[in-house]
Amino acid sequence: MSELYELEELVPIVAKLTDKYTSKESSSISYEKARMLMEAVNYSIEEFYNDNDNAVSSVTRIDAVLAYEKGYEKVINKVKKAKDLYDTIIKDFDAYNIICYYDTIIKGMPAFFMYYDAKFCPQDHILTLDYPTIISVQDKQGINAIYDYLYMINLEQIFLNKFNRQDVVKVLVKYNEDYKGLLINVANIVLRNLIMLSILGKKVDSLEIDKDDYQKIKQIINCNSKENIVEIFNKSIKEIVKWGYKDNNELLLYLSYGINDFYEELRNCVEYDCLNAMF
Amino acid sequence: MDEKKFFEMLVNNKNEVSNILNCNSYISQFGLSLTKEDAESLVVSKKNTLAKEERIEFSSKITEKLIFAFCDSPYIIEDIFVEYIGALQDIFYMYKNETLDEIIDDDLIEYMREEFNGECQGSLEFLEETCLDSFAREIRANTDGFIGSRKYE
Repeated sequence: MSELYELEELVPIVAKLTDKYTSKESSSISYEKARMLMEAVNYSIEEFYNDNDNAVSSVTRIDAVLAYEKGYEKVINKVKKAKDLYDTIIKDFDAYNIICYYDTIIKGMPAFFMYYDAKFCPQDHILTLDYPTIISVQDKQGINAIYDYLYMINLEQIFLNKFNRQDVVKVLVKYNEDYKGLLINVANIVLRNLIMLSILGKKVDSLEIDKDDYQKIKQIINCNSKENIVEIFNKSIKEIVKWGYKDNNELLLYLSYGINDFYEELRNCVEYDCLNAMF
Repeated sequence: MDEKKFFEMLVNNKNEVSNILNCNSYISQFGLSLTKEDAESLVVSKKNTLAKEERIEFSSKITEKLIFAFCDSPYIIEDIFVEYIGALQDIFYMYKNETLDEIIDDDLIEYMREEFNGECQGSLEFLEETCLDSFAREIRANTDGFIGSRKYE
């Protein structure tokens, strides 16, 4: 339970919510349901205190009932915001034939908006969110997880829409012929190609890395320290974002998140001479 | 957080024994009566059942409802009345869980009463293991919250 409040303050809220849950037609509930309702109260209260728009509430402790009610309102508003964002994404959405991407966004999300229970179980986001984003939402729950996930999907779609669909598919096929069934992040794969093209001084809109480039990549990796290379990568991402996305800072932050993993994978590929597995 | 303490705080069952004893004025017309010891044993039995079935009760009306529903049964006599009400409590809470809380208290009690006085002919075993079992299966098959339900097929 929320550490801000004593158990005695939260019990009446859970009791009232339980009455609503059972419509007073059932005099008992299972421990599992009681836990669910307890978490629901906790989730809404935390939503009230954790919301970034709420500068005052983060320092002021208000009555538990009021915090719950206001938190619940915020949950509802966030669902509406997520729905608007989803509507924006869906207009130009392309899953690039990746099954889990299509299933998560096209099949899963509408089901989420249909079945999400903001009142009695706001902590359950229902979906498994199989398509992996660059930043994981595993540590989040409920509408917070879904909103952040959609936010990242939106950034990815903005990023990918800049390129010709055929080129993106070509990159994915080169990555793995059976890419359609894999749980891979499209933006990350395209970004890695872009970074290398940018470092190699080639045109970034083609997305193609040739086998002849492997030797140059090996040289770059072997002749520089990790810090240097990460810095070069960061610089490249900045250039890419500046080139095609009007210095979109959110996109820059999002794309930069996977840089260290990229370096480690690249290092391994160079070491074991298997760059073709990456590009 | 101490979950057990929280569950205990949620429970608001007062005057359970006296509420059960108040039923005497109604059930006496069927030749039945409950002593204070009987009422206390029913309360203890219910608490044990609730703990076993992992349920929390907010109001203590189920025992009274079962007493009122079964007091006019042709299969219940005074000697076995308390024992049967205790067993019916166990069955009731068990099937609240088995039906995933999809059925409300009054409907479940009404179904139990009809089957007990009808097809079961007073057999608690038949009620528990046959009638309510198939009833619960049917409820689960039609609910939204169960993986085997039609909605997810």
